[in-house]
Amino acid sequence: MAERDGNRLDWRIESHPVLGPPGTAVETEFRFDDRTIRGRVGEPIAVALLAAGIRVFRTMPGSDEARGPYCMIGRCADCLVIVDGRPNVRACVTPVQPGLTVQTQRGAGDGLELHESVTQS
Amino acid sequence: MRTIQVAVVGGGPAGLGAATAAARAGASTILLDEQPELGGRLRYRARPLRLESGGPSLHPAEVIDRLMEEAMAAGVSLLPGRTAWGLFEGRVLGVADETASFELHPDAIILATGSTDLPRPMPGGCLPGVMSSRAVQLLIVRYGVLPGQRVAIVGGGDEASEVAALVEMAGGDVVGIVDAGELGLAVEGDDHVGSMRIADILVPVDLVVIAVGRQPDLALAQVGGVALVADSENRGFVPVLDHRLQTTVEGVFICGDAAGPTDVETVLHEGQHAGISAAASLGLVDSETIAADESDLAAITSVRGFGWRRQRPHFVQAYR
Repeated sequence: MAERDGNRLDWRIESHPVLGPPGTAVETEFRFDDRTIRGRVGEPIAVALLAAGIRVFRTMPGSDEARGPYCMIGRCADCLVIVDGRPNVRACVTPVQPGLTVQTQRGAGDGLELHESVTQS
Repeated sequence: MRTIQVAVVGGGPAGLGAATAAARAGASTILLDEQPELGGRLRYRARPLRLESGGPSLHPAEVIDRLMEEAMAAGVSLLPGRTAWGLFEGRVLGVADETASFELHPDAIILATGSTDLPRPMPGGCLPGVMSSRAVQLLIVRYGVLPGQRVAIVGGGDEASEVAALVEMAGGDVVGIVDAGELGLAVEGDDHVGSMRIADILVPVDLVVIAVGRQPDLALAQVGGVALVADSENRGFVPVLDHRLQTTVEGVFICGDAAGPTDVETVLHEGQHAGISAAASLGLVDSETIAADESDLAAITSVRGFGWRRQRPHFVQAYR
């Protein structure tokens, strides 16, 4: 999936008068599909992906419609990704660790069987 | 295993205050929160606040630190990353973390589960780039990321104008605040938000923020059989509470936004009262302290309308 606005590589806020400068954090890298993503250890995977300009995290089973983070509090399930081979991981509440392998989740994730009413929608 | 006398579900300002108050009254107290970090709404709030009137104006992150320190100093066991998924008869809590699920049997339970943002369904509303108000606030305030440059906000009132100001401070351009009642609202784009439609007007945007208000998070309360009542002012349901913040289920108390959305200063105080109420229900609080607490609490409950609910029991039957 192509990211929006190819000129903008970094969506992190540099600094502003009220919120102050970004705090110190340990930077690391992890894989997302075929890309290397910079992130901060401990921040949610969704934050690092959004900061890198990635907007599509998964696609719907059956319809292939794109989905990305909506609630950021682990409730809506629109940010599900595959982490180190495990599907259905909520990117918004799962922390970045060095060397993770994260992938776009297409559909329900490997190993889950869907009822015919879903796949035929 | 040590007996848990009071279990608090929710580690925001109300829950932290409740747990500290219960522990200071002598109850062995734990606090659970489904998020990996405690603080609730304080995690995504930008405006400073005071912990007491006349006290110093504090950054919300500092308030979280202080509330956590007070809780730990009082002896509360703080347990982030644990989701209370079930509430069964006899005050049995079903709790799960990433690896296991287990039961707790506390003597009293305080639900400080806060609120969730209200949705505003519309065509295209599931596209990436449509986010809830608190999601955008969390991204900006806690994580320093604004995932868009041309931003439309759906909503009105303080909720919408506050997040608009936050987006502007973070360097975004708020192209408009659209009333949620507008007909013909839609989001358009292929795999991501590209534009906002208001009837025959099309506005290019790359982030749509849904800021139409919030509702009490009563999923666990409902599962536990707590009676609710319709509240037209809050456009939803609120729990039936007595003057001590106890629900219709004995030994289960509710405080904070879960009792009805309100400001953070109110929930801080209300949480403390819930903690005292829970400890008092276990016989840990002397009558003088209860009496002194009563008048403070009455000032809050009358403003919040809890007395009204107590006087209208027929609604309880309709919505149980």
